[in-house]
Amino acid sequence: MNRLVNQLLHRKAFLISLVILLFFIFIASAANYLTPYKDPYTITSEQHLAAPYSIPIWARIFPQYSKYPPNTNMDLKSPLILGNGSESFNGTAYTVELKPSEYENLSFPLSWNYQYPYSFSISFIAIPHGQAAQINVLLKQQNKTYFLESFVPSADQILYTYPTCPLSMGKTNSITISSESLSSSNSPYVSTLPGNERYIASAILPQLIFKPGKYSVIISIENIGTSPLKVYIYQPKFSAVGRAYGILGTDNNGASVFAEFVLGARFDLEIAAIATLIIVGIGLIFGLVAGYVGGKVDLFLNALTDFFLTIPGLPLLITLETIFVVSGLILKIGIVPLLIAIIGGLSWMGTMKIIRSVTLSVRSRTFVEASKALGSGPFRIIRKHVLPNILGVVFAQIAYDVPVVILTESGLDFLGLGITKFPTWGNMLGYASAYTSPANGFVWWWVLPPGFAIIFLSVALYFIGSTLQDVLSPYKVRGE
Amino acid sequence: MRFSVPWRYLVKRIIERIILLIVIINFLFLIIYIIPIYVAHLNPAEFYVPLSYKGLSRSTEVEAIDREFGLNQPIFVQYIDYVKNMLTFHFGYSLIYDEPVSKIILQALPVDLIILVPSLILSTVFAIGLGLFSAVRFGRLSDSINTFFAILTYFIPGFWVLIIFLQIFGFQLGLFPTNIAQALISPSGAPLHGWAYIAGLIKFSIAPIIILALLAYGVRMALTRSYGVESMGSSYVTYLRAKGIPERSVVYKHVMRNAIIPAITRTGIDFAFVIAGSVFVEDIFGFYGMGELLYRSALTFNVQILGDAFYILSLYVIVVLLVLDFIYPLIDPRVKYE
Amino acid sequence: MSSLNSLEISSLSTYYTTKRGYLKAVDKVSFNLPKGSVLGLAGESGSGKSTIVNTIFRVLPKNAIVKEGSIMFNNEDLLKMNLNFFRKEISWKKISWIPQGSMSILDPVYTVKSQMIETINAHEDISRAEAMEIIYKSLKAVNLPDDVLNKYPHQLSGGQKQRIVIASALLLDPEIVVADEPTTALDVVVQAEIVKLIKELQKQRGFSMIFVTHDLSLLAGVSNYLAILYGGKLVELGTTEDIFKDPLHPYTQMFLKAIPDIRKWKERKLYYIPGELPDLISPPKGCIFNPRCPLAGGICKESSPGLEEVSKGHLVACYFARGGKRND
Ligand SMILES: Nc1ncnc2c1ncn2[C@@H]1O[C@H](COP(=O)(O)OP(=O)(O)OP(=O)(O)O)[C@@H](O)[C@H]1O
Ligand SMILES: [Mg+2]
Repeated sequence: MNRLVNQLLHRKAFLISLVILLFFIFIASAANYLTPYKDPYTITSEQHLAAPYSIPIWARIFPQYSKYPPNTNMDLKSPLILGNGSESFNGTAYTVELKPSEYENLSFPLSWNYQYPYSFSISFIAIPHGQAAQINVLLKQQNKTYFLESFVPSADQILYTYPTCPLSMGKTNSITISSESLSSSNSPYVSTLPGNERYIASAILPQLIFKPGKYSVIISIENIGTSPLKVYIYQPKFSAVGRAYGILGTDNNGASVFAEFVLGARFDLEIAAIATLIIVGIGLIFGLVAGYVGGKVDLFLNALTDFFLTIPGLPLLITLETIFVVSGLILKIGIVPLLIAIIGGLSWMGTMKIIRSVTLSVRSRTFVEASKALGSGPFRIIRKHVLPNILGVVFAQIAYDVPVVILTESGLDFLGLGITKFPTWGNMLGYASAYTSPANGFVWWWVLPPGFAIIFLSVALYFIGSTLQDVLSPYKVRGE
Repeated sequence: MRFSVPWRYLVKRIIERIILLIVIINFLFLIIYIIPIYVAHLNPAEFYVPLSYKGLSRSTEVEAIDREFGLNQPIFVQYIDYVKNMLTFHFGYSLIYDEPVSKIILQALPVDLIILVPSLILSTVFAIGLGLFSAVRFGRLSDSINTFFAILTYFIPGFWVLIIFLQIFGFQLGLFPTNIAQALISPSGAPLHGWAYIAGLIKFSIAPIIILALLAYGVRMALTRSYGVESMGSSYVTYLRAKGIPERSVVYKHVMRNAIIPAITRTGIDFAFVIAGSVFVEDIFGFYGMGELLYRSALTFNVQILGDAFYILSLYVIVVLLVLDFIYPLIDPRVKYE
Repeated sequence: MSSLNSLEISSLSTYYTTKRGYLKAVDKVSFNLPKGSVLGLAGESGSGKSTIVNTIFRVLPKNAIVKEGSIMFNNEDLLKMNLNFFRKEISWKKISWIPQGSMSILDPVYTVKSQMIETINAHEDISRAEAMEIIYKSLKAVNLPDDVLNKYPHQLSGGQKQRIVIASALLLDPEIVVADEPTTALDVVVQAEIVKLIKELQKQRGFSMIFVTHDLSLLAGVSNYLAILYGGKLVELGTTEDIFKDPLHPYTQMFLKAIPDIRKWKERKLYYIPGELPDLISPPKGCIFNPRCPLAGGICKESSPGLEEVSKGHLVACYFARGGKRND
């Protein structure tokens, strides 16, 4: 045993492959710790984490992506005060006291080092005490001022020529101004835009406003009543939804590609493990029986195998699955078990042929003949002589069959005929292909990882398989 | 060399393949009729009915189909009918497409050949060329790298490479038409004719042909290499060298001839199964061959077309394999008609 | 170089590089092949016979190296000659080969005819008709019907294949033929026929021949000289008569004993010499034969004896075999 491990560990290809395999097993089993998300395909709160098609954070080392903004969330602090009222700050709230027609501007500095974000929002809580107040929110860059929104008591709204929003006096107003909800009906700035831009304002505002530079967020308060006014402003915040997110960026829904990738890894490995057990199970039993019993049984099993080898595999897979879906049987079985059963049930032929041929040659060797002559029963002979001799082949077949399953399953998922409701590497690629167009260009962070994962995992398993076969087989068996 | 037609072998082979065909028909009957009827308790006529057809009600349609296809007959009568229809290629009429099924299939079949056959030929060229390259450099670094890449290609998902190609060269750089419809119209939008049509077709197919060839040559390259290596070390090569045969003839006449046999044999088998694997390329590049027909039928749950297309694909496989049985002895003199 | 010898091999050493180090398959072997005579080269399996032959034809596998020595033919060293010249002008034209294991010696995918024509064309610039003339003649010489020409190797029996290989060796009328165990794969009756055929051909055409075998019984009546090889070393060299009558080296003695009585031919068993061939990568110290030798004394474990002439033309490499008498 030690000698065996020793032999294995002395092969470079085997070691590298083992590391790769362990890596995938690690991310698959640690998926729940690596990502907080459970299923970004169906749970909407796990989408829109950042802009759709956000690049990975680290990709900003490339010059063309260097100015992509990440998600930003910050408290607005240390405002510049301008105006003729009086103002105080007690650590939590700004208190602005204004006599009639006095005003006060809180101008919060905001330095923006990126290109435009996907969207942005400004929020604060305002509690105005008095007769009537107008609160304006503006964004200012050097000499450009964007008058985003204006809040006045609803009774006064009618007095303004530009759009305003209602403000409740004496109550708590949670104000959130988000680029996605600004329109010509609530934003003075948007209402001044040319017609065509006005309609798509919510999408293009970030582009119109943001470029790298110094900004200030201005909360401007004016007493438009006739008696003194006292306004409390709490928790002024600025946030932006970025266009760079996480380890692997986002997909078309703004969901984390990394989350999908690790969840997909877990799922792919699970399904591959089960289907491979089926494949090797069927292959082993049929192969052993055919090779050991021989005669008519062998003839029959071999013909059966040839039959399954002759009918075109992928079309059969597709046809079978469709029948199950159309006839409603899928509701009873579930898509995952069905896929496993179909893939397993249609991929065992190669394994069967190899195990049969090895069994045949083991059986014909002298020590088996001898122990038959000594009256050992078939099970004993299979266990004592045949199984140990084909162990290498069986392990190798396990390693060879996993890639087959992963490739087949991914193909079906890619086509949308397999699993669609839950991330797998295959359907990640399917969606990546369906939801990209000339507009997005090449969404490499979404397209490359699943493909490379499939290739790395498969090649690693291939080398593990061939090494195991080499080391465990008492004699060479050719496997292709 | 005298050549006589091996009648006995011929008849035996044909009978074997016909039996296989009948087994496949039975298998199809099992999954298209028996499972739905007895396991899912469903009338297979439902499969044939479009959501609406010429304003008739669904139950009227189902009844009509029942009569048309004899689906209200006892199961054994249906069985006989089914076998007869398959063997005589009477596939009936698709209400969903509003066309005869055989016409739909016949339209799809040749489309495959534009891309699949050239790519198969190209991949054979790659396989043999690179396989021999490695065989004569056995054990050197160039051999290891070459072989590693060949193994790698076994595991590269074709659809993955195709979409990467499409996204980079089609979408981002705009160097290639991204679907066949786009390839066959002029920039002004008028459909192409004559040479321009052919040129458009070639420009469109060349990339998928090369990509598919690069993804498919691996197995046959490894075969060529391993048989080439075996041949290089064989006693007949030593003997040929001792006999004073120039090294060039030893490699390009003897080693090559021996090493390519398994690759050529394998190409035949791949040719039989080539259409079966065409789903991805057809789907991604949007041309309508058998693969796409199967795929669309699956997406739209069109069991009728699916079953018939599957039958035609199996028949194609069987016919190609039968033809191969007769060609192999011409490729490898050691194979006998027996 | 004496004009009496057609081939002179001196101090030839051929090693194989293996993972564990050099495998000394042939170690300082020297012998001459007198003109018109047959030299039997005998030894157990693995003693280096084929390695010598492959060295002569310069078809050694990649991991082999010729450490030292020369093979002189017509005053020229075959090993130093330009390889292309050797292939075209010497190999087959002057020295031809009947290789070991003829079962897979012919390219399976070409007909016998095409392989024979190719062989002739590689050396001679003659028309196809002339080539066919030569081919028919050599087929006749080995008693094969013409119709074997259109056959592929797998369609021939072992004996037929062996005759084809012999015919091929004679195509260009060589001065020397090297036959490497020409009968191993064949059954006893065919073996006898083939040996007889080779003997007759040699008599008729008068070429010199090296006849390699592990079965000394085949050499009786065939060879004039005998070279006994053990573990890559030449242990005894002399005329066949001398060696059969008075084997000096203990190994030769055992080797001869292993020959079954000719009269009990039918009961012939595999000959058996106690012990195994030495490990040629790390050979035993001293005389390479000492672990199996019944005579081995102290000196045998210390140093390796050289070949010394004991009587005229009879050489042996053994400390205890001097004086031409057995020490038992
Ligand atoms: N390519 C090789 N690499 C390493 N060792 C080799 C190689 N070819 C032969 N040998 C070793 O060299 C030794 C001599 O082999 P050789 O074939 O010359 O023996 P032989 O006397 O012809 O045997 P036989 O009667 O079986 O033909 C053997 O120990 C063999 O194992
Ligand atoms: Mg030999």
